[in-house]
Formats: sequence, structure tokens, C-alpha cells
Amino acid sequence: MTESTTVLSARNINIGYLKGNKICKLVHENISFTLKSGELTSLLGPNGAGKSTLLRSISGSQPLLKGSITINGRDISQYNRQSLSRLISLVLTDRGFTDSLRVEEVVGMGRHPYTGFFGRLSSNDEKIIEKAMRDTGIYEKKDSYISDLSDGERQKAMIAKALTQESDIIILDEPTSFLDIISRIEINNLLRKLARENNKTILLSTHDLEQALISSDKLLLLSRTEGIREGIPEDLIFSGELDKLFSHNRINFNIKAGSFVMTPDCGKMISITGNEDTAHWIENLIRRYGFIRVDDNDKSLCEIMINDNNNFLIRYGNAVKEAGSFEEIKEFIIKL
Amino acid sequence: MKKSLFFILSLLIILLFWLNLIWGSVNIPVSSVINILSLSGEEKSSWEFIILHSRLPQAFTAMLAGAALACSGLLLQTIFNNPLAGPSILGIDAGAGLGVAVTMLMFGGTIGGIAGISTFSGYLAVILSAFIGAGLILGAIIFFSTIIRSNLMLLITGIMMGYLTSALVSILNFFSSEQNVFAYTMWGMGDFSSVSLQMLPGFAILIVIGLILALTLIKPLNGILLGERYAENLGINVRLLRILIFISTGILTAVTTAFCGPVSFIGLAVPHVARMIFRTSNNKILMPSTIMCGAIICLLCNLISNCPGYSYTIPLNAITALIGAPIIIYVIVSQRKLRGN
Repeated sequence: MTESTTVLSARNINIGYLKGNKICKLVHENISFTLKSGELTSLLGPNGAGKSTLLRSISGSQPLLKGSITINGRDISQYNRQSLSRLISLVLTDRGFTDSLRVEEVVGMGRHPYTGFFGRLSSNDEKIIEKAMRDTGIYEKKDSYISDLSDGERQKAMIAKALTQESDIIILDEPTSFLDIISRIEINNLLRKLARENNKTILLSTHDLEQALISSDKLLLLSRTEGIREGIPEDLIFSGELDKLFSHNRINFNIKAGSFVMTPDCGKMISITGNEDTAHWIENLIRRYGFIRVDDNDKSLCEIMINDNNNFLIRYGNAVKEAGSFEEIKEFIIKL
Repeated sequence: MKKSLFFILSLLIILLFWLNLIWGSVNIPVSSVINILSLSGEEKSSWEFIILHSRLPQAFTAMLAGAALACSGLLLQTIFNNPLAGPSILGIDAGAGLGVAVTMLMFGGTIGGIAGISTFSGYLAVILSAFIGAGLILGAIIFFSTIIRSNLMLLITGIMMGYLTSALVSILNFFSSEQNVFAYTMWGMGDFSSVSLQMLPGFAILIVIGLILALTLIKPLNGILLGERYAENLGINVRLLRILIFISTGILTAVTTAFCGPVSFIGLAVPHVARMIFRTSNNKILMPSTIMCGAIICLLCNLISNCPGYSYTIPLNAITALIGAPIIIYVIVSQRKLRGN
């Protein structure tokens, strides 16, 4: 793996919308961050935090209101349309009018910035297109029509298109939003692989926190009020930044679960002892019914002891009850 | 496969062109037609006149007009990302019609009805007014397309503009002389016979300019198939592309409409025929095939409209509608087929 260098850096930029020459909506002020080569960066944030606005501003399809973005050391405004298309490629959720185009044709569109007036593809272009299709695992489908692809395959074809654009930076707007869990994992792994092996700088926006925490080299957290925070996932978890992302007082990031969960309001406590894997899922169960897990036996209403996945003991005061399944635990605690 | 399809289309054009020359209301033997075309001067002068001054220019006009309308339909469907866009649906030929109406109904006395337009300046005035009319409607639609995001709403706006211009034409009709109204009504039925042999080169040059402009846009037109933001990211100047499409469509629709009247359904239906035959929306294949299919279908419509062997003519627009409307319904019902399943 080559050493990663800063490819894109934004310094104190203001983003938002212009109407004529006047600012009609300021979305964020003074945000700064960097993107590095060989890294996969995920942009997370609640709806309306300005993720799409930020992506559009970075890709040059929307002007900055203030500040500057530099790519490979040069200000973005110094690149013309053509050279920018060789620097940044996009993968969007737009479907366009591509249904009766074949995969190979769509992937080949990425060569537009390089081909001549009529878009004739050279043998070199053909090689690049084939490699992109192989790298993304869509080569077998090269003669299929786009309308015959699954959502995941279509996304792979669009990523292959981005690869043929041979840009240092690939920006993806919610690439996994319509996909099932298997395709989500596949696409995330593919993007990780492309970042590492092809030394691409990849930025994607997503709502899929779980996958972002697993596969991102870096997170950009964009909240409505706090601006942007950047860092590797684990740092942001333990510094509490991730928790602040959705400023909601009852929904918090649960470090053990690795996801946001709602804190029960009544706060009745139960302690759990035994195998931790099983305990995790008992905790998941009791949360649903408004309990929280504590370690301190004195404070808890009852204690659930795990012998086995289908053999539990529930100690309640001085009484001990046996439970043979998670359902029996449920039946017991809802009466508490 | 694609090459052989193109070959078949070329053969069909030649065949239908030939049929347009040998079949007509007057029965002229094939051998005489060949003699007349080789300019031997041995045949009856009335037959010579029919072939050289009626059937030949009419066949050329049908071919060129079909190519032009089909091509502008494809351009509009691509830029609006809507399979139901076309010059007549969006009111562009109604706009051209308004331009023509203004010239013909207001100044008809000086320029003459369409049948009577014989001076070059008269033709030029009709073409220019058609171009201005078409341009105004296209401009308005492009303006609306920047505010209205939904293509369906945009289409409805286009249809409304068509009604508006038709209403204006009715008002103009009300205030003009009977003779001019008759000429305009005849023009409105569509007809490939109004281009004389002398006018043919001018007509052909204008259409070819429009077609060449469209053919130079193939690469960015393919890019825009992905969607506007993708196209921009590929370095395509979308705004410039819109303007160039606007000019090309304007020329193609205005010139055809000025000479042949508002020929309906060709622009809307033919691109779908080409898509069904070639099963692609790649403009490298689709645009030339659409142009060829347009020529074929208009040659066929002209042939039917002339009722070979009989002395009367069916209005062209009745034929194009009879062929075009079922195609559109078929397209709507079986959208999946277009995607190549």
C-alpha cells in the first residue's frame, strides 16, 4: 500500500445556495476537512444536515460561498470543466434514461472526457473499460441492458463508469441506500478495495452507520448545528462526537451495540450475568420493554443468569424462576 | 446484426422512393419512368412533367421531412428525458403554424396562399415566420423546463402552449379572407407536394444543415442519457447542449412545417420504432436509424396518401395519425419491451 497523501482539502468553506449573486440559503459556515488518497471516507449526518449540498460543492457543481477547496494543491476554480471531469467522478442515485443501454456502453461513458468529438473508443479505452468492469465484478453482465440489472449490479456499473473516468477522487451520493444488506456489504467492500488497491480517494454519503463504522478509514460527521467533525471511527466513538451527531436527548450512541439506541424512559434495571454474546441479545430484548442493563445486583429489579442459550435462571427477590427461551424471559419481565 | 439492419433500412428507402416515382394517380409504365429519369426526352411531355415536377420533388420532400421530424423528435425525447416528447406534442409545430398563419393570413394577399407562393421572398417569409414561431415556443418550453422539474408537468405545459397558439390561429382565421383561410386549412392538413423542383435544393440544404448539427451532438446526447448531473460531471456543457438542440430542432421542425404543414406523429412515433428495431438508446445507432426510419415512414405515408391508381388524395395527417397513434399506444402499453427483455 502506498503512503497516503492529501488529495483534497477544504478550508473554512461556506456552503449553500445562491439566487443570482445573493446568498439565499447558507447551509454551513467555516467547515474544513481533508480527503486522502487510498482512503475511504464516509459522510454521515441526519437528513437536512447538508450532506448533498456539501457533495455538490466539492464536485464543483455548486459554487462555494466562501473559502477554498484545493485539489492536488491547486484551487478548484482553476480547473476547467474538462479537467475537473478527470479529477472527480460521481456516482449518484439518478436513473436517467439508461434502461435500454448495455452495461458496457454505460461504463464506457466514463471515457467521455478523454475521447474525441464523436466519442470513438480507442483500443486503450476498451482496455480501461474492461478492467473497470472486472474490478467491480460486473464484467459477466457487460452485454446486459441496464434495466435487467439488480439495484446492486446497477450501482456496480456506475462505480465502473467512475473508474473509467480515471479520476483521483470518486464521490458517491448514498450508493447503498436502495440496496439489501448483502449488496450493501459488497459495495462497501468493493469501495474499500478500490481505495486501497487503486489508490483512489473515495468519499461517500450514507445513512448506513453500521457499514460506515466497519469499513471507513475516516468519518466526516456533519450535524445541523455543530458543523463538521472528522476522524477515524473509533476516535469519534470514544470522544463522544458520534453521540452528538443527532442532537436527540433520548437517542444515543451505544458503544457496545455499535449503533444508536433509544434510552428507555422508565429506567427499570435488570442485571445479566453469563456468556456475553447471549447477554447482548438479552439486553436487546429487555430494552424493547423499557429496561436497562446494569451490573450492580443491588440496584436491579431482578437478575438473569445465563446457563445456556435455552436455559436461563431469573432471580427475583428471593424467588428463582427458570426460563427455557427468550420468549419466557419476555413473558416474565413484562409483568414486572 | 446492426449492419444488416441498416442495410435493410437503406434498401427500404430506395424501394419506397422508387415506388413513389412509379405509382401515382396517373398510370405511367415503369419503362417510361426510367426513360424520363434518364432525361431522354422521348416520352409524353405530360408524363415528364408529372415525374420530374411532381413525383420526384414529392418523394425527396417526404424523405427529407420524415428524416427531419423523426430526428427532432429524438432530440426532444433525449433532452427532456421523456419518451412522449415530440415536436407536435410540445406545441413546436403549432408555434411554427402560428408563424405561418401570421404571414399567410395577414399578408396573404401580397405573398399569396401556400399554393400560390411562388416567389422566393414569399417562401423565405413563410420559412422565417415558421422558424420564429417554432423558436418562440421552444424558447418558452426551455424557459419552463428550468422552473418545472417534473417532465410530466413540462409536457402538459407544452400541450397548453399548443392550445394557446391554436387559439391565436383561430382568431387570426376569423379576421382573414376566405381565400387565405382556405389556403391555411389546406396547409394544416399536411402535404409533401408543396416543394417545387426549384425550391427543393434550398429545402434540402436547410434540412441537411439541421441533421448535421444533430449528428454532431451524438456524444453529448449519449452523456445526457445518464442524467444532467452525470453529464456535467463528464465535462459536458449542458446549457450549451440545450441551446444547440434548440437550434437544430428549431430548424428541422420549422423548415418542414413551413413547407409541408404540421405533419403529426412522425416526430413522436418514429424514434420508438427505431428503438424497437435496434433495441438501444445509444445515439450512435439510434440517431441514424431514427433518421432512416423517418424517411421510410414518410415515403410510405406519402404513397398511401396519393392513392395510386385513383385521382383523389387522402390528407397526409390522417395517414400519419393512423400509423403513429397505434405505435404510441403500443409504446405506452409495452414499455418493458423497449428495455430489451
